[in-house]
Amino acid sequence: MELKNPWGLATKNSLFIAFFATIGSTILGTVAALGLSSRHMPYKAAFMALLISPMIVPLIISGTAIFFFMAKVGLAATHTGIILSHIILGTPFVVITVTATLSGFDHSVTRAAASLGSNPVNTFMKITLPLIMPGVISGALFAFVTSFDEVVVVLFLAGLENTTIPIQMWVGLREQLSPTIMAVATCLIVMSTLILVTAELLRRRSERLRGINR
Amino acid sequence: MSKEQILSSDGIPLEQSLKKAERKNKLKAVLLVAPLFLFILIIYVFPIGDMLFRSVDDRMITKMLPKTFNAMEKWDGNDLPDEPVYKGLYEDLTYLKQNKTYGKIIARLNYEKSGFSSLIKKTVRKINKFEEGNYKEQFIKVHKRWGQPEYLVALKNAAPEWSYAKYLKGVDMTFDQDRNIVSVEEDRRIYKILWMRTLNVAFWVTIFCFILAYPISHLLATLPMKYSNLLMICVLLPFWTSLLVRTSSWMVLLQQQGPINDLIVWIGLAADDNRPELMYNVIGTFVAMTQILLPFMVLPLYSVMKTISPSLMRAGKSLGGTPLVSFVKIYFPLTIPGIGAGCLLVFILAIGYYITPALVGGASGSLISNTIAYHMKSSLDWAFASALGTMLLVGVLAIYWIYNKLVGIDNIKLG
Repeated sequence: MELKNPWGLATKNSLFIAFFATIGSTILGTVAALGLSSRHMPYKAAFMALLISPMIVPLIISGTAIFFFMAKVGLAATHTGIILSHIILGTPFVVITVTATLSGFDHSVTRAAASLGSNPVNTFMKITLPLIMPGVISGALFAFVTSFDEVVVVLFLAGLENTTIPIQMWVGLREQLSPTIMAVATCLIVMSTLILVTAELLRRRSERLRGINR
Repeated sequence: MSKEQILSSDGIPLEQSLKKAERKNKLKAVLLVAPLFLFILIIYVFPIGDMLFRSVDDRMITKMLPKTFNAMEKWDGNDLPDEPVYKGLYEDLTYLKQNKTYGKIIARLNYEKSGFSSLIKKTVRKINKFEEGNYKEQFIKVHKRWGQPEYLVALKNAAPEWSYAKYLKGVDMTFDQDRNIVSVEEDRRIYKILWMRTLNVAFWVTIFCFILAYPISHLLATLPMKYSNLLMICVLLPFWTSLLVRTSSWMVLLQQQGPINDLIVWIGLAADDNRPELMYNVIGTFVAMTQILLPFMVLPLYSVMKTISPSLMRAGKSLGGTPLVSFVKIYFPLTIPGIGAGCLLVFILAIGYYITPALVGGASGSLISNTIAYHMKSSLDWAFASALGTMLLVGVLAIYWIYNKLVGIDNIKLG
């Protein structure tokens, strides 16, 4: 079976999957980082080790395990299955960047907000979130790149309809180094340069913001 | 003498009120972590547990030959079993024949002892002609192997529901007839070589990353801001670039007609018609992995070196130390935490590498991950893939544990 325009479909799929995986990882990761950074959190190191583990465990093992699971619950060869597994792979980056941002966080500002009568949700949205935003965004960028670049899990999970840019590249590279692949690779380098510049600018902004807080 | 209690504004003792607030804060923190924790537990930790389970699960055959194994429990494994075992076997095989599912046990039993394939096939073909009673004799008449104890012992050995045979296979070991653990024949030992190669590549990639990253990190930490920022971007750009793009770039560079080979020919190290193979072997794996993992070494080294005050080296010099002595006695010991963090991280990542070896490694440069992928996707021996995966996982988690003890998870640096 041949697809008419595999690269077009792959681009669409990649963007779709990476978009939702990024949203999922960012929300789950940021919320968890808030809890982990609290000094009241019990067994902090153990939880942290567990939540970071998808980054450490070899992808081939994650891919195998997730494949068994997704096949069992009927999510193999679906976008949902791939998005869920990419959320898993992306969260460690968000947890790391957001906890790093929170380590320099001055908690007296949230207490000040509370003493002025703000409820916790309001405090988070108006005070905490804007301050940790650089960490959140750079975590989200990591999560996006992780999902956009991920081959191994998708190789196990994807059907013909779920092909992504890395899968197309992988298939092509195993045959020959065609000019099409080189063209795609060049586009990806341009994209990663843009992402890197964004991430660097955010990191500096974050350092500046936190510098003021101290 | 009663101590007077301090009360808070609403009349509750302060100590109690404080404890309540602490509990509330603790609950809040736990609730914030809970969604991600549950998510990872369900979609990640349980599946990995399931994988572990699959690697020892041998119930397929136990379920297919229930009556045989039931009857075998009374047999001590010496000589030939009595009639009930053969009767059970007859009933099980008849049932399997009706359902046309006996193909599955053939593969499994042949793994236990070769020769079962023809034995089972021939028996199943003739089983309809069996008469009631005296099954033992009829079985032996169909095929003389049913009268040879070693085949029945092999059958008995397949009975347990759980088996660690796949793990033994992963280290080139197997059971002999008497359930002793022995090494497989010399020419079939492939997994030990594979493990050794994986460790070897991971080790040397780590060493070379370290040698390359140390000077870069030192420059990054000591150059003026203006230049170090530019250098930092050079280090981080590959970090952000797609892994496949980096690997395919190496494929362009290392191919037979590629620039590196051109250079080698131009210098005169090799003749034009005898260009060296730089790709599809362990050299390709090695070169590409070193470059790809380099940022993971630079970042922890840099973050440690940044904190070392330059005045320490000046102090060393002023006390009469040569630059070399000051470096060995002052600078190097201070960077050891960074070295530990970087080396462990690179080693962990290298040991499970899959994509790069699969593309540039060829047959001689493929690592354990590639074998796991092969058994998952091609040979479909999922139990064996799970066993290899579990062995790799144990190794990785052990290093991760050391990393956690020495460096601390929250010190992982990402740019």
